[in-house]
Amino acid sequence: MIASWYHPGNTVIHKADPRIKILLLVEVVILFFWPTAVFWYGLTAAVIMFLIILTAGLRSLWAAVKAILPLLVLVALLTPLFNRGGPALFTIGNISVGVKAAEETLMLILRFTGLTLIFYLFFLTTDLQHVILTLRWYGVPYTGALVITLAFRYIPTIAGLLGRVRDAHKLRNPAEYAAGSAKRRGLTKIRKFLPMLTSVVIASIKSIPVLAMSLEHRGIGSSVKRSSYISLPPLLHVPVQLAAGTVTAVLLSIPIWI
Amino acid sequence: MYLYRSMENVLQFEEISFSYPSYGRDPIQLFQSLCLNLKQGSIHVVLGEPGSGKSTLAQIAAGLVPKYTGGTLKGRVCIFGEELDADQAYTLIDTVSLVMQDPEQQILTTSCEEEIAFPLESSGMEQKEMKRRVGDALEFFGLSEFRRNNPSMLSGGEKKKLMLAAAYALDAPVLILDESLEEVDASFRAAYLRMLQKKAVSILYFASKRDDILFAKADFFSLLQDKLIVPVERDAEVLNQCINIPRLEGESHDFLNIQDLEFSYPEGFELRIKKLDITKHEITALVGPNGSGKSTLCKLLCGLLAPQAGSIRIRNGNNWEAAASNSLTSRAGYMFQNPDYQIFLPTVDDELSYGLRQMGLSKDEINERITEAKKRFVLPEGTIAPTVMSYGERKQLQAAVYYLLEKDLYIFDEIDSGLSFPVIERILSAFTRKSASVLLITHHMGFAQAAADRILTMKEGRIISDKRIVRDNV
Amino acid sequence: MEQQEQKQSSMAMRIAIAAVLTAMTAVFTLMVRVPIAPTRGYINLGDVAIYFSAFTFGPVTALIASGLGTSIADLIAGYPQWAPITFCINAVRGLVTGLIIHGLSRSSKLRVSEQNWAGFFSKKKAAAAGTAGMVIMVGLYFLAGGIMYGFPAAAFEIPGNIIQNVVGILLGSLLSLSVYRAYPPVQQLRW
Repeated sequence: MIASWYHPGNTVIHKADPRIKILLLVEVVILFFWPTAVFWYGLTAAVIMFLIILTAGLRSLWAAVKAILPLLVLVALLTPLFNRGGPALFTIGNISVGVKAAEETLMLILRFTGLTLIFYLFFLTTDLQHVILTLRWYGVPYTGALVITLAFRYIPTIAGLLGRVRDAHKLRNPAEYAAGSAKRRGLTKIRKFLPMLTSVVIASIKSIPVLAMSLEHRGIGSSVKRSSYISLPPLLHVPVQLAAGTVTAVLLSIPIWI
Repeated sequence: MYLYRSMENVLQFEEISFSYPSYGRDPIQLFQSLCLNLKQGSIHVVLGEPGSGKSTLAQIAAGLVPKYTGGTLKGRVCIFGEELDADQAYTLIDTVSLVMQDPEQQILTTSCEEEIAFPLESSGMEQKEMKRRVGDALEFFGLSEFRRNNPSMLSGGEKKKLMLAAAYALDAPVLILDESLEEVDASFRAAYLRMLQKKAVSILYFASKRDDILFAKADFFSLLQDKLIVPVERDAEVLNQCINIPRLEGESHDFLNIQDLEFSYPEGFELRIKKLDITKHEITALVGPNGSGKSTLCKLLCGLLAPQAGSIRIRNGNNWEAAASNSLTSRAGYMFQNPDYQIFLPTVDDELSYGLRQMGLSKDEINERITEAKKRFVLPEGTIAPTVMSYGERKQLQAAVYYLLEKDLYIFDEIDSGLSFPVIERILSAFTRKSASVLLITHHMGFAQAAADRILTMKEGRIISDKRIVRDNV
Repeated sequence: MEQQEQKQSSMAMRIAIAAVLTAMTAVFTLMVRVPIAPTRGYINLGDVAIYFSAFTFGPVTALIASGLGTSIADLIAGYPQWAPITFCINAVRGLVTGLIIHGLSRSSKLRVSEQNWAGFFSKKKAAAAGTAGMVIMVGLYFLAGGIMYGFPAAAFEIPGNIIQNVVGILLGSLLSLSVYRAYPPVQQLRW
């Protein structure tokens, strides 16, 4: 369940410096909101798709697209309805779809797909540890990063807790949790969860002082400057990456100043 | 024997008295003017029953209690002659390393190497030195192949070794170990202790059972009992080794039958039981190493998991009927090792009456049963919240709750872990007159032989032995 | 050394509170999911955890737990494109809700009365906080969705979001009360 979307690999993008990758990510995001010809959206999206296939395979691309497909279908159906008027592009039965509407629909679909895919590409090629190192490099304080890593450490624990608490409550009160009663509607259905959630929450909260003890014992709170076991190399040590990143950034910005 | 003979006390407990916060009842004193000295370079074992306060004492020494638990502490702790400043417990990082009993409580990261590196980072160590120490520690403890792995994927013994590895990398002169060598393989234990003695590390070890390897190397022995520390001899027969569980009354007869049961997890573990009969009025122990399928079998018996093949049948009069999951769930009670999974109400009475109200009993009837249960399980009176009771009291409450639910099968998961013998006896004796079957899951054959009438041994998803025995009450 | 109360102001404690509540919010968001609309995916109990954190703890804790918890859930569940937006919207929601309930007070000695919730938080405040939270969440998601893939499709989510919020407020406040009654020490963990 801790499935992160990281897909281990040795490609150029995997090895690219995450600090540069994140800047390029931001640039692509800006690009997709920039009022420019739909063509650029399409081109960028196609490039990203190509990169995903290159780094993680067709299956990964399909998984990413599959998740947003229902939404894209919805956009395709609804947008023309709100964009009447203008010359018609084609007609289905009694409904005519205008050129403007088609363009608008295409733009929205490409925008959302592009945004989704650039994020996928980033997380497919950057593991959690490096994401956090990057955030810290950009100024997120250590305590923030620590909260994030601790959360990832505790998520599986609490998830397991939820399962066991559910079992324990079932054994204690089988009628309440009998299969088939899931279809109850309204407030009663919600209230049924209350005992179970209370136990989960209390058990989780009880682990707080224990965690705090472990943190303090391992030195948190100390004014001694903390060192890093793993760190990103100084940017000037990766000149090739810097150069490649700059070139990519310039290329990406073409649609913006055209 | 220790190489560095010195009269210097590296750690001193002076007149320590402590009680946890009381939450509405009289505070229970855990220690009363307790004194203990740890001499430089020595191994000092403190023996104590579960519930005697070993972990609390260990945490007091590290400055963590009462800072994070609340409570009233009197007296003082001195480390290398200086009084402990509990406000800044993190300053002890270079001096005192505490390894807690449960690794789950100390793990902070998602990879073994980061776990070992964490305290080193806190002390501001230089990166190259950290990498060296982490590599060294992983190698010494045989964990190098798990370097990048998530600690949660390690076995119990490996997790304990990981915690010891973190302390090893820090290299503090005083080590406080709270049952930290249990589950660690014997050959490693000897090597580990030898290494520590060579470095003249001062060790305070809290134990609840006999450990021959450790005891052979230790220099001093004390007993933590009745709120005090008393020095004892190496081979003193101190910890209560004798447990007396009465047999269940009533004629034993089969009531649950398993035939050709099959269940597999997607990860690959397979459970196959050809034939098994569970008998009423009998105490059965289910023994086996971790991962042998004990809890999987029990979950199937409780209807929490559905078998993929085979049948589970329950006797109804003279007929055997196939039992659906629902039916099993209402007939079986599984007492998880952690009693907190089903506690959610503000008072003991609320908890006890919760299940009874669903059974449609009158108010008087309910009160009568609750009173009887409270007496039988020695539950505290008053309005104390169950969540803040001690572990032993919560286990007793858990058992009382299921006792009142009139189940046919009671399963206790590792009841011999964390509870003193009198408490275990109290809990199991209560079920003597129930028309039910009791199943005890345990790691310890000794406990099984003392408490059960029948021992089922499991390995790799199969039952490899099924013996009825005559108990030895030793 | 004499009597010592729990020190909720220690750095380690604050980090521990934030981390565990974040993890709890993420688990609630991930583990109980009911797919409704094709747009954002599911209604989930994450909102319960968000309102619970706001009611029981405080504005800052709620901000961190809600923002980080939900965005981490998005990352794990496979919606990374939403993570930054989810973080901002829920962080604001946690903060505002927490502020309405608790104001700026740091008092940790709160008492609950059995009959009504006055003293812990009044029903009026709870309703106000819940409404504010709902408006923020539904409104901001509509806005964000509209910009990303058009307002018609974004409007589709509104009913689901409203339901999720209402469930979140009701169950979150009940949960807060239930936890407080069963585990009084929780009041010492506010910061």
